[in-house]
Amino acid sequence: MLSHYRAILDQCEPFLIANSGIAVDLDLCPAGVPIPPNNIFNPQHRRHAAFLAMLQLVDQLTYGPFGMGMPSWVFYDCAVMPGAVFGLGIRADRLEEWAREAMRVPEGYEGLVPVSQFIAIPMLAGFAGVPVNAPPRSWLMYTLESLNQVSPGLAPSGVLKLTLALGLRVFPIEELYGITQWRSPRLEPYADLGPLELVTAYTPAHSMPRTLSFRLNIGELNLNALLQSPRLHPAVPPANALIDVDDADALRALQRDIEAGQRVYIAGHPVDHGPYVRVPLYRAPLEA
Amino acid sequence: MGLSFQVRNPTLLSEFIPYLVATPLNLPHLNLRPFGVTPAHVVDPLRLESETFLRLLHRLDGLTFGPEGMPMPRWVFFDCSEVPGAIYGLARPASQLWPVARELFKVPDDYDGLVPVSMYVAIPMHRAGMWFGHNLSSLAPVFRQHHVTDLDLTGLGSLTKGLALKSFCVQEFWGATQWLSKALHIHVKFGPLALQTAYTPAHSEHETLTYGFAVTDANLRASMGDRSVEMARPAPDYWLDGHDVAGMIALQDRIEAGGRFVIPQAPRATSSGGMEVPITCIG
Repeated sequence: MLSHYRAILDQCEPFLIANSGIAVDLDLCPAGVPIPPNNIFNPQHRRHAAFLAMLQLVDQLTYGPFGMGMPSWVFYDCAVMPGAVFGLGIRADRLEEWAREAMRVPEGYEGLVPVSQFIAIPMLAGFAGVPVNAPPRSWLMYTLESLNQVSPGLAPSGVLKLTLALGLRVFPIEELYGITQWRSPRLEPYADLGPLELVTAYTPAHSMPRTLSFRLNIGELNLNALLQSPRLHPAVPPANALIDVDDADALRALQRDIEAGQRVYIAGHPVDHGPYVRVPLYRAPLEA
Repeated sequence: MGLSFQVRNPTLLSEFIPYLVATPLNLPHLNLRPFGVTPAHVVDPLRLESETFLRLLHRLDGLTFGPEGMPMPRWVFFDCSEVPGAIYGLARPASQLWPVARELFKVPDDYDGLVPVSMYVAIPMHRAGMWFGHNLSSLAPVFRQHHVTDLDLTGLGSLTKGLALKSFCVQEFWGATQWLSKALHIHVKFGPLALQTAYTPAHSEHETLTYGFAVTDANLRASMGDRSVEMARPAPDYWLDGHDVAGMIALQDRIEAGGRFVIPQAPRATSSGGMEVPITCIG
């Protein structure tokens, strides 16, 4: 399944940032792609500071323009202590000069330069029915980003999808939760994973209220479908509604329907029509 | 309902109402009545009707941490706390709020719900019962700063954290704080703190330590002011100055080499107005 993505791995290497506690729960050879031992970093060790600083820059470059850059204390408290980070990187000497400058690679640094990252953290509800000393079944995909979002060409095309596909296999995720903005380009690869059930459609608790939350049962089919896109996932039901993602009133109405018990799924990719962006939805029949 | 053991400031529980911010899926994993206190008022962060309360929570964080430069963005509240974990705290009905607090919080005129005066935020880790403490906010220092004397808020932070850890059913706790943080005085009330890092480049403040302790009812009661609880605290081997970065790095190197250390007791003030933290090697 990964065959047509293999070319990315000729240039990029996987990496993992995990504290010693969580590392035992993670798959260090996702989809048969081994994470080299030298690319496994303990966020609590001093010697990895240069790599962590560049990873912070990746986040600032990709999420900063949305006003959602992650301060390092949030990265520590909310990402690498409860969860872990998987990503892809390129050796510094394989980057072109302009890319080294853009990534502020320190003089003399010859190590890995991160170009993407996927972060997942445990969900409390995921411990229901889980044996003692086992990880949760439900995880929140906390971040997915690639430098291609802001600098296309710095990393191979397809890095984001491959990072998502491998990241979902690194963690023992059975049920995936995600939070993203309706206008985010990441909604498209997420929709490729399968039918995303909306948990919130309008989220005033978030910095950007036009944010959605979703959940999805993860299985092998979902991961394969992601890398086979643009074919639509076979489990996605046909759309029976469209939502204009910039129409806050419509999003609020949808949110009220969800709060009243309506089950709503994302049923395809966002579609642009001039100034309008619409997302196909499937509104399940109301249960009697 | 109050507590069956001694706490530092028992009037707090009669003045305030407990609340719990949790999604419907997380709620069954939480204790609504930690130590038998009044059942918490539940706020579902996924519902539109919670917007004002969650805005006031964010305001509480801003009042507490804004001056130190580490206020929490709203998306962090949602993504890192409200969805994966929980928030426990104490609140007061808007109609009973002091005028100065009403002004500080910018409470909407038509709002008659609860206004949070304290909160504890924690995030679940990779094992059931294992949590990472993320944020402790209390109106107490804000009241001191504004010379508000309507109510003695002494002990509000400790009470909130103690009840929160019980509510979250925490068995193993981890957290991060700065060597010069006064919050260390609260943290050591739970007992000696195991050190996981002493110098932390992954954190915005490199002079951050990562600490942990096993949670028991006894150390929760002790943290809230129950003096009947006795704790074994090893004697310090030395005291680390809160400004001594080289000392932190040296200690971090020893930890990375396998050394095990604890902070056995409360920090002490230095003559220069700083702080020294006791360190004990346990292996």
